[in-house]
Amino acid sequence: MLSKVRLTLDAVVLLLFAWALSQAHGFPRLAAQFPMLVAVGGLAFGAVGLARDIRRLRSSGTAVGGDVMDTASLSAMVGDDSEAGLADAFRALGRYAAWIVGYVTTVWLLGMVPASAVFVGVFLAREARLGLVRSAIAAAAVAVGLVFLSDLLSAPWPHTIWS
Amino acid sequence: MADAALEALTHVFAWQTLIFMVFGAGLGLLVGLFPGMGGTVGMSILLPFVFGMDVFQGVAFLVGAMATTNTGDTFPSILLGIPGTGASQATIMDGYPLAKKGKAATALGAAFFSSMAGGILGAIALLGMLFIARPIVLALGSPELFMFTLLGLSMVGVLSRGSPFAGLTAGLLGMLLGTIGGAPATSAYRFTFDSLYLFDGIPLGVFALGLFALPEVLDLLASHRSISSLPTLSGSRWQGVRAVLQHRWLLVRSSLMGTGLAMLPGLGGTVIDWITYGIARQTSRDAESFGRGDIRGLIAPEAANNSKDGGTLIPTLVFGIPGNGSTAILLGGFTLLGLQAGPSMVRGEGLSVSLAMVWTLALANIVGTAICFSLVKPVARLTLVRAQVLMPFLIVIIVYAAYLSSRSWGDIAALLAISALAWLMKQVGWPRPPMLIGFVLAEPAERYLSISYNRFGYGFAARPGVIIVAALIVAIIGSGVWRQRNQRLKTGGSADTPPEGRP
Repeated sequence: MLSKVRLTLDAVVLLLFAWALSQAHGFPRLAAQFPMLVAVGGLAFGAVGLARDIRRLRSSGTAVGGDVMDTASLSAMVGDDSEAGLADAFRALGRYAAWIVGYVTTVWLLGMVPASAVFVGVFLAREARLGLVRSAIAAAAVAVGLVFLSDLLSAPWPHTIWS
Repeated sequence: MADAALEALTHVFAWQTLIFMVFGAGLGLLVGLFPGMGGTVGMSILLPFVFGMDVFQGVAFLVGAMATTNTGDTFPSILLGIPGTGASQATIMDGYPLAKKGKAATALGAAFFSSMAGGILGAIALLGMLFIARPIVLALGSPELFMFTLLGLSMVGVLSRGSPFAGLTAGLLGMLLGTIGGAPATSAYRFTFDSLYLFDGIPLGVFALGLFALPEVLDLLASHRSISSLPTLSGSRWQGVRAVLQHRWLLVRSSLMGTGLAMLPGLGGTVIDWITYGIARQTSRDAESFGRGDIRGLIAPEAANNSKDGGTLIPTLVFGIPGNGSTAILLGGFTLLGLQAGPSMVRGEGLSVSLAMVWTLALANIVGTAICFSLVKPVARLTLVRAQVLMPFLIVIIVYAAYLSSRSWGDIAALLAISALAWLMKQVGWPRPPMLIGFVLAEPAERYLSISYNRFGYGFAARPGVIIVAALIVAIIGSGVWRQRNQRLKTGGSADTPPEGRP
């Protein structure tokens, strides 16, 4: 599965460089020079990279670099080579990605301080199973910390849907 | 120069600057503690906060954090056998076996003392190189500086893990994303899709957070990683210090090697760490004890991974080429503080700022070591906390830090989009540091190219300096491809492929 994702990413990046090159043609000369240079370089190196990945896939059955094993990528961190282990990890990943998107949506709806307090409290209670009292204390600490930080930096909050 | 050094010292020892330096050093230590975070993530979190700060305070804040990340990462490396950052991988080789032998306190003492000494030696080397580098830098024109940006990108791309072509493509992709917004040479907007948010380009803070922070947080959460047991702390920290003093020449040699290697942009802490470890092992008489808890195997990489900070600052300050992800973000921090890396950093007020960095680097290493010495036990307990408990706090900080970049919802949207791309890149082995360095180098590269073209036309390509650097770039790319080919031949075609059964 990762090989397919790698080849798709290679191809998408190549298309992106081609699109950028076509767009850059329409810019004034001084604004076009650098993006065109970068896009041409990207197309050249990207094409060689894609060709090498395809060759590697054909010769060794995978297009994914060995560094995936060494770095803290999800598959390496889970320590489970099997399709089932990886599928479990991806399911968990989807859940946590949903938590983050949910948090950002709550910030949009309720504002930074209440949304952060709710997010931290509920996350700790549900995912970390910390217990209601400890989760509530952590939520309150986050709210106080954010207000303190905002005051210190004279920084505003993100606008909500209502403001 | 002496006046500038004294002025820098006065600024560094101002109480407000000291507070920011200690705060940055504390945050750097904290970031180093958590496996998977690393200096780049820590610096990217701090970056939005320097906007509007006094130059010396902002520099103290960022350099303080940069200097201590590789001190804090010693805790998980030695106590838990998990590298806190990529630059502490070699520390595990002998640090963890020492901890398993019940000599964790000795190992920690040796590691912290080596880190401190390495950091101070790196700062001294930086000071020396600033004097030497000054006339060289002042002799360079825009065409040469443009080529240096390409050289930096090539080195980072080729020397990063995985395929050199993927590294170079990632670097160029970062450069392309760096061109979004207004062109520096003319009043034209590029790749903005008529979005007001994109008119100023993607903020560096958002880009760095998206590239490194959220993908790491997601992977840590999804892998449900927790460390179940802690090796018993025994022995004495001072025994470790005595062991370092016994091997003081190894310390000095590894520190100088770390600084020297770090001057080459893109080599990275991980590579430097392993090179110094390998040389320490190869040049020792009883090398077989390495990997089984030999204190020398701890001193060499720990000294090198702190001394490299001085080395990476040399190309960053005098050429405007970031040596790694952290210095790429530092370079972005300069922009937020109104500074410009390059020749201006070795003259006038820029020289005072550069010298303030030298003082801060040395001071932050001492402060970081003192904090680590006093926090051995509570910090060790903190590293046992599950990702599920720690990460929600970090997510809140990341989202708010991203928002502070330009105080727009576009920051948060860009953060999520870049995180998704970076997470994919991470899973399939596309190197991300070249992308960040490409993004940072896009603006100076375009500026130098425009000046060169306006001044010399395309004839700038015929200048001897340009030809020499171009030849270097070709040699670097060629050697990268050759190295990978050799590795593959040696391992029968499996050097960069995962073992059987991996999808």
